[in-house]
Amino acid sequence: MTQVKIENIVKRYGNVSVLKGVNLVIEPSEFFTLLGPSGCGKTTLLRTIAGFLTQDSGAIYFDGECIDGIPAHKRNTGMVFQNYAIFPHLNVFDNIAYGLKNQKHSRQEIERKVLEAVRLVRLEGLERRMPRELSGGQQQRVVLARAMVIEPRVLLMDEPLSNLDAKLRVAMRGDIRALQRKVGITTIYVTHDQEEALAISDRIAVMDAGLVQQIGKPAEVYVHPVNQFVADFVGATNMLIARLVKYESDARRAWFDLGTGSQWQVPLAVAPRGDQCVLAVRPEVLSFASAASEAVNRVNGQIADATYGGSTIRYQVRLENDQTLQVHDHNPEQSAIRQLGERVQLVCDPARVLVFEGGAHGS
Amino acid sequence: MAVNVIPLRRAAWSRYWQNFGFWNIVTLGAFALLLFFLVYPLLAVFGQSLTSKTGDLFEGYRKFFSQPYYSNSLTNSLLVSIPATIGSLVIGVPLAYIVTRYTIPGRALIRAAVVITLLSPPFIGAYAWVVMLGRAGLLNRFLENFGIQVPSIYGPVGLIFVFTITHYPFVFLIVSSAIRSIDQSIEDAARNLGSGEVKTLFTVLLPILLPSITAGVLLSFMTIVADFGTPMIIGESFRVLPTHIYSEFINEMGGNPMMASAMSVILIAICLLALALQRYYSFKTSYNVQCVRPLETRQPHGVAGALMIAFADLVILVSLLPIVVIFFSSFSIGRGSIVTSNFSLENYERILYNVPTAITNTFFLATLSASIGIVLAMFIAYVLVRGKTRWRGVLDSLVALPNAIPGTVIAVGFIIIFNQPPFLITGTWMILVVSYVIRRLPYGVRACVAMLQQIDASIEEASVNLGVPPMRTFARVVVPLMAPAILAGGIMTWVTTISELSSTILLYSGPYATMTVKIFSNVFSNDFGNASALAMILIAATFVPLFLMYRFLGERAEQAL
Repeated sequence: MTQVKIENIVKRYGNVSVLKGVNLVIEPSEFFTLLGPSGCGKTTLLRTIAGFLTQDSGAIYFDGECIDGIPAHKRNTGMVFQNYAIFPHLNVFDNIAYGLKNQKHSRQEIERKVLEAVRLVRLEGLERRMPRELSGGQQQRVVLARAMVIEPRVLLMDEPLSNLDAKLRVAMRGDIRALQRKVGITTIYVTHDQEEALAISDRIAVMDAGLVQQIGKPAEVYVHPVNQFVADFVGATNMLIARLVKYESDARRAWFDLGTGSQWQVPLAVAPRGDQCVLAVRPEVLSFASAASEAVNRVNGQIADATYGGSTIRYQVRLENDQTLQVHDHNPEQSAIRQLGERVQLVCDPARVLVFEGGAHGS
Repeated sequence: MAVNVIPLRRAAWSRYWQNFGFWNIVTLGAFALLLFFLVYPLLAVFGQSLTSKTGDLFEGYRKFFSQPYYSNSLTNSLLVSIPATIGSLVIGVPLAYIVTRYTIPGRALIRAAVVITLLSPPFIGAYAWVVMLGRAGLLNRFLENFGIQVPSIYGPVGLIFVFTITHYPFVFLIVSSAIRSIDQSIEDAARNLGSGEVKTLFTVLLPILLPSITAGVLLSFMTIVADFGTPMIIGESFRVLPTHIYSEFINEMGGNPMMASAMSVILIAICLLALALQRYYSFKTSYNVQCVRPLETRQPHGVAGALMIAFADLVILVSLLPIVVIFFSSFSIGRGSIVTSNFSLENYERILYNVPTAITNTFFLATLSASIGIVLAMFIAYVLVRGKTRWRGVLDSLVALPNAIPGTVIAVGFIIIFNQPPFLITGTWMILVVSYVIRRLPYGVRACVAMLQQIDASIEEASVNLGVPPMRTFARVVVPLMAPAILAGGIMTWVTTISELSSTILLYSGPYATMTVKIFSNVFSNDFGNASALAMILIAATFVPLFLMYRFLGERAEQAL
């Protein structure tokens, strides 16, 4: 299985830098996701790996071998396109056999490999169907089989599930993951859907503005985002503008004023450099204080909105300084559902509060 | 499967080669082709217009504007082209609106009739009108019984009439496709804001259509001013630029090649101006948003409805009358322009006996040219749609150029440059093929471009990604997907080639005379029976492939028009 190394890739279109020096190492058999908003450069990077684009500087290595001079058709990568790019004039069998026919294989061998691929993606019996007779999910399976049957060194997937409906998307991503584990192929997966990225990946590279912001396992990226962008993009986050009151260096603890009359403490290894900070708190980290609660970080507010979602109720709580916090209450008892306008007190675990230096960044 | 480490220098070379691949060679080839066979002949014409013996470089042009003998041709051209263009506007726009928006009886038939009118050679229409309204014409004699004097078909009035009735389809087709791309919600919004049906038409729909109407009108003007056959047949002493260029060029006594060229340059200038304006307005229409729900069609009712139906039927009747007349005239015995009621196959027997080579020549030349043309068109279209070169815009304009260059002028240019070694092909069938390929290139290119724009580029990338090199990807994926366009473009090229007259008449030599040339000479020798039989074969050869194409491709067939 192949290791992919991306070294300082820069790509410009005219004066616009789409990739500004990207470095990544993707380990053999890893399921690696490039996650980011549209325009962050993730698709450009994928297409550069496939050889459809040529970087302005930097290099790409497969198992230590530089592949920059190799044209797209000799790179032996298997790509799954966002809009499937199924060959509309070929049936399922011929679509899957397309790449094999270009390699030196006997007829029997091609047939054996195609049928095996058909079985792998569970399309048995549909070999003679034309693409227009297939559903979106089935077309997706065809192109997946088509990309994998040529035994590529790397599987490249460009938002492959974005054209499917929500339920099918979840089912397909499970299938893709299972298939990838079974075959063990190194996979680079591009998506803008953070939930999908968290669910499917071994590791994620969060990208923004042509740069990798953070690389890590899904839980690392979610629990320990390195900056406001990652905290905000991966999962929902409340951003509270706060002023540093004091830093107790022996207790390694900082005190912040939320501007609502409440002060919060957060364990911090080093003192923040400035006074202005942003506290990031996940909605599920916040909970409603009971009378007996002795939690240290509290804040008062009023229920501004509530969305009932079965297993979760999502509340909007308005603080005294008019800032609104999202609070997710999981598995609430029916009697515990809060009413609009109800005065509440929120508490949160100091260890789950993230501190970012400087003012608020974007939204 | 191990990939060798590629040394840096080879990597750089390989990247260079990848960038300078097959498609750049195709782009260069396309440029070379168009520059040599289109731009060079035009430059040669311009060059010849400056070959004065008196030392005055612009003598030709001075002469042209100072001597009425020459300048009258320009005035005459404008005198008939402008009213005829207005005529095609006045007929084309309402007809397009009526046929597209109202469920009048026989809509499909009307559309088909318009396409037939567009594609049958205008000079055949012209001579059919001579049969009807010429000296001792059918209608003349018929109307004389009632004491009605019909104005002569010969001369400027007849020209305006025939041009109008043969050229309104340009306006009709462009405008009706524009109407179909307007979304119903636009009309609904106007109505919702309180404007009535007629007011909506004039304040919302027509302004939206204006760029298309302008483009259609300019296209119509361009072809009218360049038309050679019609004024040759019914212009008589009323000379326009193309007929004057022709007579000046072939006249062995007292003909003046410099003046023929100077007139050609003036004609080109007029056509290029129209083309430039037309492209500008076509470009302006591209802001159209995608139409989700086309304009609703309505039931015509009341007096207005009856008038609309009457108008549409009258236009179609007048458009198709020439074909009916040719049909009957081809089956009747008779000398000269007299059509009798005796049915006979004599005319067909005569042409099969006398001029079988004209028929085989036509089909051979058209088939060869259409085949070469569509292959070139396929590659050029690919470069135009997928190419990344800066020169794409230039190539796009060059490819549109043949539309604007009158056949007479291109032929003059060809004769100048191919009359001497190393390209001595004047008088051979090759010069005809080359001129057909170049002149009809826009049809094939337009069909292929329209199709390619609908094929997602990622399909090709998928093929390349699966290990198939770009060139083979083109053959294995793009060509099969373009097949309908290749077919439509090829047929359109073929159909318009068999009816080509204006350049053929200057370029052909005895053994390679085509049907159009024979029809033309038969009309001139007043042998209308033969002319009609040949014209009938020509019309059938136009009709049958078009019918099949519409049958198999439906509306998509019109993309090449």
